[in-house]
Amino acid sequence: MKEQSQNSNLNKKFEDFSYPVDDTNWDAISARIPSGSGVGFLGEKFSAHSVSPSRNVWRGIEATLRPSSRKRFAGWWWYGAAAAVLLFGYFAFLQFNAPENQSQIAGKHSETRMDVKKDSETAKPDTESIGSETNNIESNSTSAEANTSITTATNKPKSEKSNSRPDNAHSGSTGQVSLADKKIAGRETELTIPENGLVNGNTSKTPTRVKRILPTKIIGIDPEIDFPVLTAALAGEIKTVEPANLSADHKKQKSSPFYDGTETTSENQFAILAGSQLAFAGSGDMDMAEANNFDVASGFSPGSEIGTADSSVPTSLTYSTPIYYGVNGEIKFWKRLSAGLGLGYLRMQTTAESKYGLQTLAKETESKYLSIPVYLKFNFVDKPKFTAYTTAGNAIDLLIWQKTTETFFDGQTTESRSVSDEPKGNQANLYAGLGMSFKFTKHLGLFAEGSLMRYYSITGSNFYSQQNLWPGMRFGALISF
Amino acid sequence: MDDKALVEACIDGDYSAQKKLYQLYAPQMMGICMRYSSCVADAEDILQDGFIKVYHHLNSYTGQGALGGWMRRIMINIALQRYRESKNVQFLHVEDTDLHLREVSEDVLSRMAADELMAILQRLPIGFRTVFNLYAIEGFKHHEIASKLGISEGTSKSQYSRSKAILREMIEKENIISERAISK
Repeated sequence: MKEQSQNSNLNKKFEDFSYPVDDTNWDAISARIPSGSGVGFLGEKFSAHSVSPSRNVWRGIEATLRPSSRKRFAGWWWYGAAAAVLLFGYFAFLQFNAPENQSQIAGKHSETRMDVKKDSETAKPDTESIGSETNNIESNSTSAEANTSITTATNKPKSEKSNSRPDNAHSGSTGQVSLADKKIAGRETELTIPENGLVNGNTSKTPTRVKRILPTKIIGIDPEIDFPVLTAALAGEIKTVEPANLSADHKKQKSSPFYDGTETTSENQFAILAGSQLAFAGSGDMDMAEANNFDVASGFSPGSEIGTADSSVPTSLTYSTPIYYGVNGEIKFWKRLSAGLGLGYLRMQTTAESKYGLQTLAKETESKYLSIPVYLKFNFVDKPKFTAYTTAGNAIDLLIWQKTTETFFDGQTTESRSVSDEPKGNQANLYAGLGMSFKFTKHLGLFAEGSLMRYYSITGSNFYSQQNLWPGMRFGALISF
Repeated sequence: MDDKALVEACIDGDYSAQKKLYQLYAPQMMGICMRYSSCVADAEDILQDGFIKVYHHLNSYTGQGALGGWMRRIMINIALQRYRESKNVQFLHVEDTDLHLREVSEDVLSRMAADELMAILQRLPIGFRTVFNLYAIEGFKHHEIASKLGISEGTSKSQYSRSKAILREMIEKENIISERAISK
């Protein structure tokens, strides 16, 4: 208690004590006071000064703040690309295995034909029209066998067929009506059509095998292929698209409406795109004017009505899946704009089908072209690893090979022949598309592109030009230099 | 929502709070960035980098002092860092004779509008502009400026003096303020 009272007295003694301080001391102290908080003599003037930044600043910040959403986004695109590549592979598989597919479908078709045949048993053949046709044909006579070949689907041995046909064709024997040697589009051809719907005196009304089927559109997913599993396996290695560091070019990129906070691939580049394109197949009513040009009914027509613009004769076109393989060279002449030139192989196939009662005539044309596309491409998203682009261009397709097969089905049997001297024509197409590409490394990537094409004929006729727009998909590998 | 709640929400990763923080402070910070830049694009670069740093270091903001002041220091640090990293930044050598040049008085500068000052400040060479900003507006001492920019205190003083002389020339040349007002 005594010590406490002594301290209290000392405190009172020094309560009013003061000591003069030199101004130089203040300088030393003030130098240690935290500064830089806008307390300069102009600080107050600028305290309320503000400038609105552009929206791109927030986009850039947002892209950095939410990398997880970007990862998810990038991931989904990878899955999409993997699925697209698999889809392409699947279509390519179907295309390259067409004979197997056809034989499988042939089995199904023979059942259908059996049904048709049962109906045909009650149907009365149009002997009158066939008879009149016979007279015309008989007068035309002989031999263009070098130009055509005839295959006849029966259960007879091949050698027997080949031996018996010419005799029967010209003998006018009972049960046979010869329609051979009819002149077709400037060429001689030969055909035997049985009056009773059967071939070469075969009295069996049930054909055991249809050698050549009417072309069928082959599109769909084969249930035997486990698509989801394959897709997941390929998409296993997914790399995320990280925002790139900002560079001096940033300021220019920021002015773009597509700026999202990351740097574009600013340097010019040369790229080679090796890929394939599938246009989706379809079918439609045939333009009768084109039908006449196409000479659908010639040679097979049991009546003159087929091949004319008679609306009572249904005529249709089926387009098989066209496939394009090619290599494109592409140069980026501006930061987002590229120009490309390519060389490719294009395969197209159409089937024109006419029906007359139970009889069907189909003409299948397969054409192969050397294609030269020229196009422009604009990358509206241009990242080091990912680009999304729009493209438009024109391609000239020069016909290099064409094969036409005519098939006649009379309700019971099917006959086919190939025609080699069909009129040939070059074509062109205009196309526009949207696509994306991914780079796994600096030089290697994949691309997928959807496009709309408009075909038009340059010389000759072209069935693809009948439809306004063809959707297509292009896939492939991308090599950048 | 006050600053503290806003900061906590931002730290929790609340996207709307992060955007709100940006909307609240971006114009003010952009004004600061503009003073350290010669063009809008450069200023936006600093602003973007600055805000990214703000979001990443919000948990180090203690709540003592205004949030705006804390963000302001980050923006200035980013701007100075960019200048230090840039190879093009050189502090012009100032001759002793230059120090006798007529300088614009601080009073004249104080009477100018912020927008006018900003316009002429952005035309100053980058070294002069940076020193002028740090001294006349931010209130840093010359030894602090020297430390921040890696120059000597004398260089900071001479750069500041020279910048005021250039400002006077600009003001006179463009008749921003009358001769009489400058001479006052």
